[in-house]
Amino acid sequence: MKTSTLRNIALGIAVECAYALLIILVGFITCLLFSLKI
Amino acid sequence: MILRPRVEDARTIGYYLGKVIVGLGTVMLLPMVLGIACNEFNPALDFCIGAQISLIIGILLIKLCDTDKDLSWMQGMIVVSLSWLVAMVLGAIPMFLSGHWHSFLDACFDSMSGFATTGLTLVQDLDHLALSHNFWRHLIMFVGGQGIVIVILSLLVKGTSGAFKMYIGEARDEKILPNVVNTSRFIWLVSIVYFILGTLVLGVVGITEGMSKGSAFFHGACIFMAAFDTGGFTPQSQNILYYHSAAIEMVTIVIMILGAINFRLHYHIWMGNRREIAKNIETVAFFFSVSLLFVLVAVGLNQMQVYPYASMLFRKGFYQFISGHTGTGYGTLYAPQFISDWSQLALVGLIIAMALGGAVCSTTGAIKMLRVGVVMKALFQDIKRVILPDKSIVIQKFHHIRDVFLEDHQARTALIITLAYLALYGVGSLVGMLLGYPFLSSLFESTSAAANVGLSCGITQPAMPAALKITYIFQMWAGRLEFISVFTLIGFFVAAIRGK
Repeated sequence: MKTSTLRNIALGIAVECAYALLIILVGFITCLLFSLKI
Repeated sequence: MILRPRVEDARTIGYYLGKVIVGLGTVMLLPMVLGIACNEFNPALDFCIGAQISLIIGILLIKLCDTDKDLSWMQGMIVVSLSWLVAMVLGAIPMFLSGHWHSFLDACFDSMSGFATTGLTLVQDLDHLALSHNFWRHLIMFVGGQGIVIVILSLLVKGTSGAFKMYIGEARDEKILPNVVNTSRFIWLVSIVYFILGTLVLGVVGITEGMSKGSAFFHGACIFMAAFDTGGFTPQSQNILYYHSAAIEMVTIVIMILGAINFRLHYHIWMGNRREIAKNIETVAFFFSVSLLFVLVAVGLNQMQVYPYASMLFRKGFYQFISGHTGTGYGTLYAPQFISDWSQLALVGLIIAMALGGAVCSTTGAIKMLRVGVVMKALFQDIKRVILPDKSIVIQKFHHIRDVFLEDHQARTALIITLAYLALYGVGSLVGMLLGYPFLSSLFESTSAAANVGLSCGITQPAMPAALKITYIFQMWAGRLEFISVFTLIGFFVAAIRGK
C-alpha cells in the first residue's frame, strides 16, 4: 500500500472515532442535564 | 400461471449451496485448531464432527449438482435464504454436542442468533463453556456480520454475475466497488483493520483492569467481534456487566457505533472523502435519532429515579440505549431490570431505537437510517407540496455519497421495507401475548429479535415455549435478510407445489 493510502485510512479511522465520541458526548451531556434536574 | 421450478433450477441452487456449506465446514476448523491448542480435546472433537458433516454434505452437493451455469435472480435469492438456514443447523451441531444447550432447537436458536448478529442466547452455564466453543459463538457473529455468502464469495467464487445476485440477496443493496468480489474483500479489510485495533485496545484495557494477558486479549477479541458486528454475545453470562469497567463500556460504545456505519461510507472516508461523515443522510439521521430518542429514554428513567447521578444514567441508561440503537445488544443490566427499573416511557424509547437500527450495508439489522431519512424527506416533500402554490415544482434532495434527487420509487421502496419490519415486530409480539406474556415485554423481545438487537427483558430463556423460540428464529432470519430472499424462497416452494 502507498503511504498516502495508509495516511488516508488512518485519518479516516480518526474521523469515524471522532463521530462516535461526539455521540458519546451528546449522550453524556444529556445525562448531566437530567441529573442536575435542568 | 405459476411455473413449476425445473430440475436445472434445483441443480444450480444445490451447486452454490454446496460451496457455501464447504466454506462453513472450513470455518469450523478454526475453533477445532484452537481447541487442540488449548488442550480442549472433547470440544475439538465436536468441531471435527461438525466440520466433517458440513464438508461431506457440501462436497456431495457440489459433485451431484455440478454445473457451469450462472445464477439467475431467483436462484441467487434462494441460495442466500437457504444458506442461512443450513448454516444455522450445521453451526448448531458442535454447540449441541458441547452439552451446554438443553436441546438441538436451543442450539439452533443460538446459532441463528449468532449468524444473524442478534445476541439472544439460550446457553446454560456459559461461564464454564470451553474456550473453543466460546470462540465459535463469536466467530459465527463475525462471519454472519460480514454476511455468510460474502465470506464465501471472497474465498471461493471468482467474479461471476451470480455473486452479485447473492450479495444483493444478503441485504447488501449497495455496491462499494464495481466488482462485487472486490467489494466483499473491502468489507473484510475494514473488519480486519478494526479487529486488530479493537482487540489491541480492549486487551490493554483488560490488562489495566486486572485481567491476565491471555484472558484480556481473548476477551478483547471476542468482545470486538460481537461489538463491531453489532452482535451482542460475550464470553461471560453477565454480559458487559461482568467487567464492571467504565473504560470497557466506553470502548465498546465506540466499536458499536463504528459497526453501525455503512461500509460504503467507510470506503469513501478511508479514501479521503472525510467530510462525507458530516453530510451523509445516514450519519446525520443517526445523530439526530440518538439525540432525540435518548431524551425520551432519559425522561422515562428520571420518572423512576433509579439512576440519580449522571455517571449512573450514562452507564446504565445511555449504554443500553446505544447498544439497542446500533443493534448490538450488549448490556450492563440484568434482563429483569428493564421491567423492574425502567418506566414504560423509557422502554418505549428503547424499543423505537431498536426498531430503527443503524445504517444500510452495515452489520446492523432493523429498518435502518437511510430508509428513515428517505421517508422523512418524502414527508417534507409532501408537506411542501401542500403549502406552496399549485404551480410550484417541489424538488427534494438528500446526500448519500452524492446528491440524490428523491424520487417516488425510492420513497415507496423505503416505506414497503419499513412496513414489513413493523409487521414482523407485530407478529412476534402477538405470538408472545398469545403465549401469555405482557404486551410491552412481548413487543420488547420481538423487536429485539427481529431487529437483530439481542437485548432481553427476561422472556428469552431455555424454559420459554418452543413456539416462541421458532418464532424468534424466523424473525432473526427474515430481519437479517430484509425479506426479499425470504419471500423468494416461500414463492419457490409455492411454485413447486402449485406450479404447472
